[in-house]
Amino acid sequence: MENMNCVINRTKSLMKKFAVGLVGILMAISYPSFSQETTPALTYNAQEAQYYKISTVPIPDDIVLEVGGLVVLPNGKLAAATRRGEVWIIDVTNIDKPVFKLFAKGLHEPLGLKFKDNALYLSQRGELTKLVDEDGDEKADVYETVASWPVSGNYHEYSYGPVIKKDGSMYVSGNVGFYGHEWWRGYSMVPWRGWVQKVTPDGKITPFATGMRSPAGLGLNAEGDLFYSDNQGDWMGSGFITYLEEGDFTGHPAGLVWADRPESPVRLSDKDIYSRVDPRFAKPGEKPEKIEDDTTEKGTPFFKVAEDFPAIKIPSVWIPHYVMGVSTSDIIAITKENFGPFTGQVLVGDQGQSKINRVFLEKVKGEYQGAVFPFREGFSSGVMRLDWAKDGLFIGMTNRGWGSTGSEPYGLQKLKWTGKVPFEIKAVRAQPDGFELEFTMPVNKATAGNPASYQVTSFIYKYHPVYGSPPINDESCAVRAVVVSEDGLKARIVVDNLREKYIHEIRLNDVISDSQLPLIHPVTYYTLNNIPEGQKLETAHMGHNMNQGVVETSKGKNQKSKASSAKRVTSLPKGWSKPDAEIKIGTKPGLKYDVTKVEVKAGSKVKLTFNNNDDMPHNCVIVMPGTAIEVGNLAINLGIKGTEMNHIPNSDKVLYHTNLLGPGSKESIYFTAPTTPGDYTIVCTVPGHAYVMQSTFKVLPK
Amino acid sequence: MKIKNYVIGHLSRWSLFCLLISITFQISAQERKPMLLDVKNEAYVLRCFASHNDKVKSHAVAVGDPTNIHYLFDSDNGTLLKVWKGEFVDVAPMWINRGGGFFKTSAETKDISDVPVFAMLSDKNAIWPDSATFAKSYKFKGYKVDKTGRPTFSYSVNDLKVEDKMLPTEAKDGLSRELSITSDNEISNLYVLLAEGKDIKKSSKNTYTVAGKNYTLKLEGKAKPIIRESNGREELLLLVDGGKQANVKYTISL
Repeated sequence: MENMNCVINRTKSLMKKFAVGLVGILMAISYPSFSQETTPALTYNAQEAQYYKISTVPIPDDIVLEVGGLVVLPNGKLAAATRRGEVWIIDVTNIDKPVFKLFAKGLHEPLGLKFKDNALYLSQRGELTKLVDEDGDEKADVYETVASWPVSGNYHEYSYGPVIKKDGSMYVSGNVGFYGHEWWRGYSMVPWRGWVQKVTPDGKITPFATGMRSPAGLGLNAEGDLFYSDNQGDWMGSGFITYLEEGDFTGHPAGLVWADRPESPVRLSDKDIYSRVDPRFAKPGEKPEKIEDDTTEKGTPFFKVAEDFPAIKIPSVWIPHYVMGVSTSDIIAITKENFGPFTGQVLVGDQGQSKINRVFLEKVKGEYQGAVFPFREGFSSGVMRLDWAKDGLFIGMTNRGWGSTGSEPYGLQKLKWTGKVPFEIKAVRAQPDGFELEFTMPVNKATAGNPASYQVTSFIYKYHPVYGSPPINDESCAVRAVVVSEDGLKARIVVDNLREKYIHEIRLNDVISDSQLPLIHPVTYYTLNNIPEGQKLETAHMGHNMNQGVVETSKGKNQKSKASSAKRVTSLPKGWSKPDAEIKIGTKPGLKYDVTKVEVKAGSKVKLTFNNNDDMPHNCVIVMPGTAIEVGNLAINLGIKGTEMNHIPNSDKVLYHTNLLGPGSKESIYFTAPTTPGDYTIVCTVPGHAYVMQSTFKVLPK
Repeated sequence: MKIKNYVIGHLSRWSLFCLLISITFQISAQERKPMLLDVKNEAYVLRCFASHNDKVKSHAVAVGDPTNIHYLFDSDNGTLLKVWKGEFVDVAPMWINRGGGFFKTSAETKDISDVPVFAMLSDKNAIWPDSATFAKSYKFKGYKVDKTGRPTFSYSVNDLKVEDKMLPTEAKDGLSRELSITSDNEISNLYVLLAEGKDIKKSSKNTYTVAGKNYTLKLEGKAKPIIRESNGREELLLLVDGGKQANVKYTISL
């Protein structure tokens, strides 16, 4: 009950914050709409658009379609559940003139939707609900509670689902909550938060698996097996998707507090985890201090802990943070033949980067693993839900509370294949001595047959209570040889230094198709949980179309800079008695700084303190006028090295910056303001944030 | 030329400033202004978190009515938590930013009860169960809405099936509640908690005043409820004993 009171107090204090008044409100404006910058072309958008076209379903002004659940009904109409608790039936016969009809309302933030036996099923925060229209007036009259579960009343306790398996069993998932005490750490305050639960068609609900932190996506692959997606955060080095079986533990220990209950199928305790990785809880009586990555510590990857505990399920496919996405959402199998060459694979949405990734899955030694590829970006808001129409994919979106690369607050779009085959890496299959890459069309054998065209690096993440993780233990893997198949559709690369459980980044340089097209997405990340047995290539006896060569790339050095640099001076510079100006910057939810504008005099001595009071990492970078997006894009291109470089690209547009700060961390930097007056920008260069997280740094004439 | 540039520069800066201010107010209006749900034409059944007597009600249901008589129901206990008149609900805390906000209204609400609506008491002095005890026998089944959007809640307590319908009184001064109870077996020792409070008094035939809470309750039919003291407060209980079905109907006047 103490916790409950804590919740109420926090709510009250939040309400007080609401009432702060106009000053606070002024701060709430997202400034970039006034900046002079135009949105730049996204990295891949233009090429992707030739093969997969996005169209927008217009939404009437009086409907706030923040999509939490989306399903295409047997009659071709769409049903969309919204975060405001409405369910809309949308007739999209003419996609430019959709007809919206309100089917249900008043639901508690539904974040899932499925149709079965003439009823809609959805998760509200505290229950699985069945909606039925009994009298046929296209409005729900029955709101039946199929099964309910406890919630403590925390904002972060979102519930998702259901996904329905062939046997009729349904699965729902729930986030951990974040509370005042150690607010960066997820807690499971009531039973089965941080769990996936199974619900039988007659409403019997049982705990199924735990370790979830923010399990926004539940889906089936083409074989009908259950997968779920999770997001980067505490104990989660990066987002991923994982095949889920009863009794699994997937990473976040909060839910384990209920694992000793008789109905729990999970045979693991949080003490097991904490015996291997220090959870760094605040000591009794001590004020909790925000925990940061200990860069001096090598770190323990999750798979190391898994070696000792059979209940642990490591990710099937990691979706590397920043480079592939920031907030994994829906999972859906490509079951359509009219959607291009990827039938049988799965699509995975990403809310923060407004994009969809594609995942190829294979089973090696009985376990799922595979490769993730960028697929399509440039959606208008945060990609949350996906479902198939006869002739394409509907995408339901919302970015409320977090922000997304696509700047619309919500939206509904449709993605259609144009019928043209894109030149892509279609699949990657693990081999005993490397990988086999399959392409969507024949490759140019000269480029694809050259080992120098391939660059392979492997890395993994730390498993620790800190928010996110830098890539660790990265090593380069020399590509010894390549064999291109006769038909030009496959390239088998022989790679040194393969490491099981590691993520292998495979980068292709200058590989073109037989028809001279460049690869649209020349990079993929393969999670090599198991190396298959089998025949290795005899690289000593070269075949006539086998090319041999060794491409060594320098070993990555994980030296995250803690020392000052010219652009980041963290102690009072010599000769300064005190700064002329002291600026304090914090954050607001939804990718915002808590000030829209700061002013200093040209050439003045400035102390800037950035206090990251958000629940995700940010930095604070002062850039030349009008270059925020440009610098943000340079930061995206840093790839997996981005985190260790604090997402600070080496650019003369960057004037001053803080390090990348985790939630709850603070840093002060000292610098002399530019001597040229103007509107400089303070921007967060964490990939995806630069589009929205900006404030003006105004330099006034002396 | 210089003057022209100067003027244009200032004009554009001024228009930018005006735009900034207007958008500021739009956004501030959006963030600050209560977001009131429209219940003019149809009832609204809103699932929400609520705080009641400093306790979290994680499965609360706020029901707004065109008559402007509204109530808050706890679907975990079958309990009528609050009744009020006037503004329905401000959903801004739930619908702005990350959500998760609690039930909120600026209208003056009347707290009715905070404990389970039913109990099987082995004797009439037994202590009324708390929510945790009650939860073992109770299951919420959901609700049906009629053409006006008004809900009838369904739940079960052990082998009892309950239909629970609350409607505004014709005089629009309160709420009438009808509990329809059915069972496959003989109903025995079932108590319905009609009211609880500091000081409950019978004021006239079948009419009771709940002094601490400042409302009156009128029970329909011939059944005789009892007023008992328990845990330092008073409870108005009605015993349902015998038969396989029962109807309990009462009216709360604000």
